[in-house]
Amino acid sequence: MKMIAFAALTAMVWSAAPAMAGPVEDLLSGARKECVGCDLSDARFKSADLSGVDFSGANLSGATFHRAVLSGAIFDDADVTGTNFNLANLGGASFVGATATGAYFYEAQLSGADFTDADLSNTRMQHARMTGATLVGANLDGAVMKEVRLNNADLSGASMLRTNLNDSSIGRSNFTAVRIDNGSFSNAKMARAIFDDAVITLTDFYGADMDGVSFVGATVAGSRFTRARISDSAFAQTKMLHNFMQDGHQQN
Amino acid sequence: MPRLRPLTIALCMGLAGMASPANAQFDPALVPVYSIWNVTLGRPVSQIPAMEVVEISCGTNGGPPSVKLAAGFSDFARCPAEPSGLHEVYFENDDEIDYLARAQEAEYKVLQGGTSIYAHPVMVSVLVDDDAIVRGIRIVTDERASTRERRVAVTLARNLKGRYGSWKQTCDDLPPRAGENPVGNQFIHEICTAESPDGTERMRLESSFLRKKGQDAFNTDTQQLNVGYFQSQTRLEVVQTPYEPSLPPS
Repeated sequence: MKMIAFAALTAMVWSAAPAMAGPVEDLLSGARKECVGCDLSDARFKSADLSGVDFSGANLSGATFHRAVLSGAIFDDADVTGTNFNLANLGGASFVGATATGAYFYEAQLSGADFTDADLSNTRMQHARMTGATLVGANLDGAVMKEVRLNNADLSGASMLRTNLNDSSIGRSNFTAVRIDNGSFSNAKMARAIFDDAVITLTDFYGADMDGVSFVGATVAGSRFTRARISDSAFAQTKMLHNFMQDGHQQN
Repeated sequence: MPRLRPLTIALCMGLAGMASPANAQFDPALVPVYSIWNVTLGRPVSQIPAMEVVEISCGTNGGPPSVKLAAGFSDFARCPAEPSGLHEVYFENDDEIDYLARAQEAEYKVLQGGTSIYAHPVMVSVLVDDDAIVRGIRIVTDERASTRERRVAVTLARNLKGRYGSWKQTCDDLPPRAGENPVGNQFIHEICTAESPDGTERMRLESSFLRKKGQDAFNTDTQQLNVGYFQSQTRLEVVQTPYEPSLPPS
């Protein structure tokens, strides 16, 4: 008898409870505004409005946020490996300490976003708008950032091995103490960018607009400045070795 | 086309083989998940999966989109009713795979090519009545396309005639109106109308390839050819009876 009563009670509780929805459905409906530490791998949030949602520590590897609105969303320490943020609005979003290896940010709006200490290696960020973004200590190895708008950004201490910034706009951005190896800044608009104390090797600045760029205390070796717009005085306090200079000559 | 096919297949296989998990969930077929051909007339507009299309906006009688509908198709009543009483809601095919291909710097145009039918870039819309039922579809070649694509826009009519081949079509060639001229030796302005075999739907297909008044081939002032100075378009509208296909803006 007791068993029957328990079963009936259980059935009543189940029937009275609201339909159980997963975290993805709850986030899409707006019923939930955080999903800290959730496993949302391969979830689909295409075109969804998830502004301000806290995904800290969540596993979002392989998820899709194509065209999503994510202004002010928080992805701190989250795993966004291979996640698709193409065309997403991520203005003011936070990715502090996030793992974003191989993530897609093509034409994404990332102005004011914070990528401090994030792993952005091998990301695809072409045409992204990243004005005023913070990438202090970020790993940008192998990132493709062609035609990105990265003005007034802070990349101090970032690692940039094989990073491609061709045709980008990085004017007035701070690259203090970055390590750049085999990087590419061809035809970049980088007026008044700061590369103080940076270590730059085998990097291409062909045709770049480098008016007022600062290299104080930097080491630049084996790099190419052919057709770049820059004056020799910019390198007055720079250790220069074996570079191809803007006037065509090669240094010893 | 037969020469393109191996390339297309190779690119699809390349996209499928991309290592990222974000790519793994896609079937790299050339056909979009949802297109205008998936719309069923007489069913609620909610049949269209909002996550599988983009840029849901009010239409402008076959022109570019106007007001964006933030709430999706359920917001259709915000679009002003046409003289027929129907509301035109514009959308585009999902572009998720196209943008992954762009990010990978693959040949994205060979994959899906945005909103297109028979390889022609088009603007598509559904015509919705006050009860949220889809009563018609409208397809117009996209005037924003490149000159090369626009030049062949008139040929889409052939594909569409074939698609509705089982409908008894009546086609009329219109003569040039005042100021209209041929492009080279070609002048096309044809209107075809038809009714479905079961009599529940009507179709109007208009295609044109001509120079309108002022679209001269040669600029006598600069001594240069006027590139792109011609009209080449195809417009299809299919509606349920008793509605009648509307006319393009004059």
